[in-house]
Parts: sequence; C-alpha cells; structure tokens
Amino acid sequence: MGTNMTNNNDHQRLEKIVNIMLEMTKIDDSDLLLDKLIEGALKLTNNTKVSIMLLNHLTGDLETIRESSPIVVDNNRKLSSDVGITGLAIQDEEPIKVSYFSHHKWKRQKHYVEQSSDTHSEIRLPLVIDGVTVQVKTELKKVKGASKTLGILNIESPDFDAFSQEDEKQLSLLARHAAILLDKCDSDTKINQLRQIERYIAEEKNYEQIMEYIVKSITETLKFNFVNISLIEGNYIKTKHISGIRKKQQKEFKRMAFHSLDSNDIQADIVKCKKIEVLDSNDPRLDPKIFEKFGHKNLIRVFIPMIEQSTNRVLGTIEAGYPKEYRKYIYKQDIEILKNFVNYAAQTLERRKTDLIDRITHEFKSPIVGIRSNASFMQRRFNELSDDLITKKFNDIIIDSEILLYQIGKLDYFMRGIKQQQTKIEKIFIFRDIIIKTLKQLRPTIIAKGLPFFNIDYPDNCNRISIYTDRAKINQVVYNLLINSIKYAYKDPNQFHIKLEMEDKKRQLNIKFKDSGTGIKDEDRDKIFEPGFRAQEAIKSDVVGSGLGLAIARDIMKEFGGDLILTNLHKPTEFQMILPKKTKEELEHDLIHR
Amino acid sequence: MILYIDDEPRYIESFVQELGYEFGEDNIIFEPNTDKALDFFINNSQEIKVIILDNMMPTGKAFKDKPTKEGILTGIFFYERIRISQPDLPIIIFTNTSKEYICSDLDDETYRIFRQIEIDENIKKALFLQKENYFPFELVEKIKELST
Repeated sequence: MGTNMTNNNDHQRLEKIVNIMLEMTKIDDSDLLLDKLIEGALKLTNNTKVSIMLLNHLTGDLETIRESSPIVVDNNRKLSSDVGITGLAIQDEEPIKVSYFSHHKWKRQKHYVEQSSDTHSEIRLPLVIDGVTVQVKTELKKVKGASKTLGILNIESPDFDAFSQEDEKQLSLLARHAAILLDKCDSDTKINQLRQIERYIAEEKNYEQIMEYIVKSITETLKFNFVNISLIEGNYIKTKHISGIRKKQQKEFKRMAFHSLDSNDIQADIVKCKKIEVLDSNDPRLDPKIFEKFGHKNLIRVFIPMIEQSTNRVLGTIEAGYPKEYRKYIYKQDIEILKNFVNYAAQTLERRKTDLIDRITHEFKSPIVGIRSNASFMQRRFNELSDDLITKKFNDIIIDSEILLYQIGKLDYFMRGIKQQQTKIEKIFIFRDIIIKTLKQLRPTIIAKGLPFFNIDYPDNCNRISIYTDRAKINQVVYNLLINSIKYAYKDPNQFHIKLEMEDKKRQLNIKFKDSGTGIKDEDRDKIFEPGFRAQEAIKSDVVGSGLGLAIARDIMKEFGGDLILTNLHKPTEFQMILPKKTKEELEHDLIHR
Repeated sequence: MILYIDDEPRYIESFVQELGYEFGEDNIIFEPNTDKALDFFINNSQEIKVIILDNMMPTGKAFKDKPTKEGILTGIFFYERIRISQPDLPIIIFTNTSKEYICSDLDDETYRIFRQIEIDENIKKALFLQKENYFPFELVEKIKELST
C-alpha cells in the first residue's frame, strides 16, 4: 500500500513537472517565462516563497527580478554572486541546499548569510546551461565545463528540511530547462533589437552617427562593454571608435592603436587571415603597450574582420570584449549575432565609401569642362581674340589640368588599398618650386572670387630653402592647404590675407599656413582630418567637395615621418606642415620600413 | 537678355564669353551668387529671354530650407521658383549632375519638379544639358533652338 502511494505520488510529481516544462516551451516571451518558472516552482513545492535573481555579467551583481511574494529581508545585505550560498551556487553551478538554519554548520562558516528569520530551509538553484558551444581561438567548440550562468532560482520554506533529494533533482531540472529557454528568448530579443538598429543605420547619412549606432548596439544590446572598431586606411589599420575606456584615455588609445598591415599586430593578422578569433591574454600578437596601459588582462575578446561582400575585401575589424570574471567564454550564439551585424555594418561603411568616390569623380568634371570649353572657344574664335586673352586662356587650360591632376591624386590615394604608392625622393626648393608656384597657379581662382592677389606674404630668403622629399606628394599637401584658404575666405576682399611662415629647426622644417578666413569650430578640430568630413561652413560654400583633402594631406605628411597639425582655429586659421630634415637615403629607408 | 547662373565662373568662362560674342556682351548677365541671382530675376523678369542655370550651387538663403541635398539640387528648386512667375520662359539647366544621379533617392517634392522639367522639355520650354557634352558654340545653338 505504501509503495503504491509512493508510486502514485512520484507519478503525479513527474506529470506535474513534465506539464510545467511543456508549458514553458510554448512561451517565447521572457517575462512570461519567468512568471511560469515561479508558478512551476510553487507548484512543485509546498508553502514556499520563490524568487528569481538574474546575474549582471559585467558587474557580478544579482538582481531580484521576480518574487512569488515579497521576501522580508532582515538584514539589508544585497545578494551578490561572490557572497554566501548564492555565490557558491553560482560558482559551483550546482544547487545548494540549506536545511536547518539555526543549528547548521553553514552559519558558522563565512559562506552563509541569513536572509530572513521566517525561513527554515532554502534551496538555491543555478539557472545554468551546460555544454555551450564557445569560440576558442578560431574555432567553435563544445568545451568541457563550458557553461553559461544566467542567475539563481531561490526557494524558501518555513518548514525544516523541506526539500528532499528528489525535490532537488527535479527543481534543478526545472531551473536548467528554464535557463535554456530564457537564453533563447534573450537571443531572439537581441536579434530583434539589432534589426531595428539596422533600419536606423540604413536611413542614416551621417558617418559618425552610423558608427555611434554600431558601437551602441554592441555595448547595449549585445552586452560587450569593450568595443574597438578599426578601419584600414592606406597600408595601416587604425582605431576609429573605442568604447569601454575612460573618455580621457580615448585619444591616447587611438594614437597608440595605429599599426601597419605588414606588422605582427593582432589587427593586421585578423585582416590577413580573415577569420574570427577569440584571444588568450598571452597571445604574442597583442600590442604589449596597449595591453598594459588599458588593463586588458581581465578581458576576454573576440576579433571579427569586416569584409565587404561583393569584393571580399577587408575593410577593418571589430573587436568586442567583456570581463571574463562572470562570463568565462564568448558564446557561439553571441558570435553568430555579432557576425551578421558586423557584415551589415561593413556593407554600410562600404556604401559610404562609394558615395565618397562619387563625390571625387564629380570634382573631376569641372576642370574637364573648363579645359574643353576653353580649347573649343579658342579654336573657333582665335582670330578675334586679343593676345592677352589668348595667353590667359592657355594659362587657364594649364591650371585646370593641374586641378584635374590634384583630383586624380586624391582618387588614387583613396583607392590605393594595401599597395604603396610610388614615391620619388629628390631635393626640392619647397618655397620656390612648390608653394610659390602653386600660389601662382591659384591666382585666377583668387581673382575669380573677387579677392586681391597681393595680400599674400611669405618669409624673406625662403627661395633658398630646400629639403629632400617627394615633389608630387608635397605639392598635393600644399595645394590643399592653399585652396582651403581661398575657398573659406570671407567675401570681403579687405579681409583676405594669407601668410606663410617658416621655422627652420635642426631636424625639421615647420611651415605655417595662416589665413584670415572663416576658420574652424573647436568641436571640429579633430574631425576635419577624417576622410569625408565636411564642416557645416564648408558645405555651405563649396557644394561639391569630397571632404578628403585634409585627410589625405595629413596621411602624406605622416608617411614622411612628419605631420600636419591645426594650431589655431580662427583669425588666423593656422596649419603647420612639419617636414623632417632627412637625407635621401634616410627617407627611402623609412618609407620601405614603415 | 540672357541670365546665366553658375557658382564656378572660372570653369564656364568660355561659355559666357561665347554668348557675349554671339548675342552682345551687354545682353549677357552672369551671376554666381544664388540669392543675388534670384533677386536679379525677380527685378528684371520682363527683360530676360533665357535663363541658364547650374544645378549644384550653394543654396543661399533662398533655398536653404528646401531638400537640396546640401546644394546638389539647388538648380531644381530655382527652376521651380522661376516657373511660379514665368511659366513660359525658356530655361536651360546646364550641369555636371546627370539625370540618373539626381533621380537616385528623390523625395516626392523634388520628383514632382523633376517630372515638370521633363514635361517642359517635351514642349520645348526647357532643356537639361550635361556640360561635358557641349562646346560653347553648341550651347549657343541650343539657345537659338529654344528661342524659336
């Protein structure tokens, strides 16, 4: 009779738990799932109070998000994942049961923290998923012991010894089942959120805003608190966006996270291998300086190459990470989601690049129209034209050709990808042959704008200054600086002024370009060097510009081991070209080894 | 009188000069500034026989609230403004921007004006020409075609 009763009881219990688990599988909303879990736990036990706590993977805090009835907490201790039996349950990923509160060994040990005096037994069951597939280096694997802990199911009873072995087993099963389903809901929610963000990105024209959306998605939706987006420019890969370090340190990080694609750095390697990789702390490809300075020891990180679909070209990388204390691995699910999102982001960035190419090629059309129309006009009306006009027209044709070469230079530089451009080092009289020559070429442009050509100053004896460098490239930089001074001059001719100064130092030559134009806003001072950026003022006065001039100019200067910096915003706007004084051999050596 | 509006005078100088040689210098008014051009049009619309209009120009105050895509389509809205007071005046849009480029990603308002321009082209009130396809003397020929 007793056995029958037990069998009946067991059968009933089994039926109960199967039903509960079945019902849970039909729910795809995480709130409803949590409610169902509470309901299920209450059904399987008698006279208990049930609560669910979820683990914050970034901070380690446990937050109570569901309670069957408010649990009276006697001492105001917040539950945390490294304290008490909760901590133990999380750590060991096994249920912890406490049966007798008053006379139990737990109380004497530091593990136990008494929550409420009503409770005489309690059980804490981890909401954990075992056998998760995680990314280890470049592969997805089922690692022994790899698990994902979502939180704790906590059940308290006023009865002593309220939970049997059998109870423990069944409740544990319930908790694990719930964990799997909650995780799936969580994934689905993340995917939906990202879809929504993808829609915003698709409508967004502003490059900066797109990058912000991408970073925000990875941090807020996917819960990676460290994000580093790097893009390839020329033969280098540079961090363009960094999140998860203090704002004050971001500039420094960007300065340091600048590596050649030929180097051994992890970013360069990911670009070469085109594979997703999760890194160990002691990977030799990690830049040790950055690692030390920004405390990367505690992070687990995944590196994902951003690949443009149609050409299979790598645009850059996205690096995402979080502290490995509460999430020891990077899970397959998250990588799958991240991968799709990264591809989408890559497509968007590539579209933006095509836009830029359109803008550059538009800049070609004007000088071509100029050359053609001048040539045709002269051809048909040659005998009617005065000598002065003929000379001017020929000069215009030459100047328009130079402008065209400048635009082609931009396109060439922009498109060059990984290959280096040809560089030819020779001795150049920088003022005589480049700066003053370019000014003369720009004379018609200055006059066409109604500005006086005579209001331009340069230093005495500058004709004698020479330096070893690549003529065409330095010409590109000088042309860009001077054309900007003209483009953004005030309309009032009395205000127009360009002044060139020089500091001839031992190891470098600094040339200052000062103009009295409309200037640059403080918030734009770094942005102006970004490819494609156009300040509001610039857009108003020059419709067709590509926003590439300064980006390319600075890249060229850095290539020679120099720099281009903005040293004053307005009245005067001042740029400094820093040219290192090196011998031909030194420069050629530098260029090969950069 | 021919009114020629373009924000890059250096590149189209030969066109303007050719018009001067053909129709008399005093009959050609060139204005590179969008707002000033609009003012001139308003004050002299009776005497203007043809307007030549670039597309990509700074919006000025007159068109800054229009969806010009930061100046790429200023000419389209200038066209609309001219038509309000001069429905039959011959207008030549003389531009570097192709129709395909303009038509990609248009909003309703802009599309409506663009359709209007196409209709006007069919009845010979307007022409949409690509600068790189015309020499100065060919532009003159087109102006003569429109005026008859």
